[in-house]
Amino acid sequence: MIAAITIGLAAAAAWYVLVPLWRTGPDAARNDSAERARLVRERESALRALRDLALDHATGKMSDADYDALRVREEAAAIEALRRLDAIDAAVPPASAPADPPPARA
Amino acid sequence: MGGAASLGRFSLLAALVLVGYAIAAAVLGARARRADIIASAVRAVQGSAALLAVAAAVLFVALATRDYTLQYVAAHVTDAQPLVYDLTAFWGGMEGSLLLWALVLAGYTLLAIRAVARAQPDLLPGVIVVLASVAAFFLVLLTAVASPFAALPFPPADGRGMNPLLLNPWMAIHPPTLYLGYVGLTVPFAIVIAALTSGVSATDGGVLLARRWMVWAWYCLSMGLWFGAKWSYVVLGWGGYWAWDPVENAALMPWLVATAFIHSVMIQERRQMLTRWNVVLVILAFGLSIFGTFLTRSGVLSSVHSFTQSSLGTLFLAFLACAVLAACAIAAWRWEALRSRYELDAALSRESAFVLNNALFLAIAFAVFLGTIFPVASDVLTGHRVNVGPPFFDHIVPPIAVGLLVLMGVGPLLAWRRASPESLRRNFLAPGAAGVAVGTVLLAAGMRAPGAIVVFALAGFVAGTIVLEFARGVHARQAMRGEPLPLALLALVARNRRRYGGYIVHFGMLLLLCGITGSSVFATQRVVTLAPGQTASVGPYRTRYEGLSQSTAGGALTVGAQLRIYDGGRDVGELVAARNLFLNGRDATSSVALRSTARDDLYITLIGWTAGPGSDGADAAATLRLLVNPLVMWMWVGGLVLSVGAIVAMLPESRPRTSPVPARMPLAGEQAGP
Repeated sequence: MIAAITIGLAAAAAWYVLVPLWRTGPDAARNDSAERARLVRERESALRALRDLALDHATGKMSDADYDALRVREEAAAIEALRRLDAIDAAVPPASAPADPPPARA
Repeated sequence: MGGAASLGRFSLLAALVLVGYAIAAAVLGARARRADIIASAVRAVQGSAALLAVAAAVLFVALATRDYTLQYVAAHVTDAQPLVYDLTAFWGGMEGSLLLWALVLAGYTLLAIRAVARAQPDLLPGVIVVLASVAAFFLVLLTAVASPFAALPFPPADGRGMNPLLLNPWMAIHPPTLYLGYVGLTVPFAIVIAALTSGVSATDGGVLLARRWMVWAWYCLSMGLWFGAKWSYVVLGWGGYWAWDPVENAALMPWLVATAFIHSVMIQERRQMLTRWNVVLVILAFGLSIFGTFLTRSGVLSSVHSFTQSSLGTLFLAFLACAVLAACAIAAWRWEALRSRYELDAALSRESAFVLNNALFLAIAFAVFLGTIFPVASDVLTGHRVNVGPPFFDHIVPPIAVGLLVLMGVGPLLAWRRASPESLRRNFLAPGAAGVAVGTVLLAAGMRAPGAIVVFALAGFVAGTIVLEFARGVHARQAMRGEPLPLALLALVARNRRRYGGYIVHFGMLLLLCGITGSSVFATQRVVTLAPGQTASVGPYRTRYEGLSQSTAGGALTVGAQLRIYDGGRDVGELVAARNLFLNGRDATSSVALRSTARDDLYITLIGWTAGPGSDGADAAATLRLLVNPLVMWMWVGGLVLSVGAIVAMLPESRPRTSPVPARMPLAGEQAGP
């Protein structure tokens, strides 16, 4: 009985593991989205920084002068990341444009 | 059952074959960019997890049915043992705990594959290779060195059973929780190594992806340490909860490193800085988790927690060396390219506070590491084993912990990027006043322990900053939206789970630190021998000894001292302090008489007794250890609060809006992450 279960398990495992090799399908896509993923991270980073700046300024932790200077810098970074993302997306057909990565989770 | 044992052995062997195949297929699939081969590797990992589950089921059934033909069952189960502890014997011994490790890793691997395939599919082959390699190491141990399915040629009629100290609900949950943390550190390690091998751009994303896994592992380690402290306190009978035991230290070190990472990765999220540092922390945390396993299983250091000495230690050391060296080589290969393009804007900023906090966490981890390995190192270098013991740790760690306490209060007062000294002074006023008030009240109340006053005053300061942060957020929501207070508070936390969950964790840590300080600095004890009817006082308590009682159950003779307790002259009830003597020759254990209040714990253990003239022993004299531990309850409450905060922080946040320039300034209560 145990021998039969053992043989059955081995056969099932072998079949389960090897069956993808008998299927024909497209090769793994090349990593064309690495640059886009980097830009998305840059955009998210700049947006997070903008929100932090706004909160720190609103709660009196940052002076007006520092807030204005840093906000301009982060806005420029966010806009630049968006501009380059748009350029990448414009060069890729919409159907194959990779989606944004899932939102950061706590 | 012999056939079932064969099924267990086969399952482990087949799982080993499958993870070996998964490694080869993942490498080939990545090199050839063949999706079908990578899919086959994924399936091999899934198959190995299923086979490990079969092996675990076989062992569970063997334990539950008390199948003494298996060596492991005969060593850890006995007819007199309750069924629930027969089942927890799964992780009560070396072989079973290794199987649990492999099983937990298999579960994590399935979840990690799913998460990585969604977030960064490029990393999938690398993640499979690393996780399957770690699994292969444990499966080699389980099949070739320490099999839980080894059979006995002559099965005994009854087994030996577990160490009585392990027959406790806290010990039933402490090891699996700790394992969830230890093994959980393998996933961020695998993601980061896969990202490093995939490229520099992937590494930044990989570290951020690893963060959520690290937070989960940190939470499990926290709970595991907390459960272990509780077990030590209520079961071991020595009156404390932390002894700087090597195995306790082994769990503390990765916890410290993971805590450092959770703070420093926030800088990477915002500034794309510290990627290299975060990579180092992830590798270090994983290395320390394997080092802890080595300490527990090698027998190089004596500990109440460790398994017996075995050859496994050498294998663990070799595996640790290979894994860490390989990881360091890969990190070194990418090192220059990982250099950040950005720098800190100002010394006075939250980033600086986090960098300093990382330095202090690592300093404590290093001190604990040094104190833990010192006996072995001194033995190897000089031939004489020198134990540094608790005085070393008590001398080094508290001052650094006070530094961390200061940063816990100052950090939230500092702005990201650049804080102005003027605003810091202004924001410092209310929390600072709270700290000064606490210190002044304690001094006025007669407290003269400088260390304790400093800690309690700083706790008041940190609590002040936390309250201030909540108050500002709630006030902003009320001002902008007119929400009532409870709704504003709930919405504030719900919309900023990481930020306010983190503050709740900090508050839990404050309670823990207050409990540790109170019980460390102000504990009082005395050892007394009392005849029936005599009383002894310790702290505010008077204890009247009323006589001995005896009972036999579950293969143990229990001798209990009946005690009546008076608190400030008021009768607060009876307690029993007992010794359990096991008929099978196991070491005797204590049942502690414990009265726990918010002010203090009265903790009494029965050390010995002398036979009296009566045959029933009721008039025998008893030697008791009476101990008053102030504020201990706040440690356990602090652990609960920490747990609540961590759960809040781990809940998924809604996706932030992606408009580059907010149309209006966001509400103070709508910001992400601290």
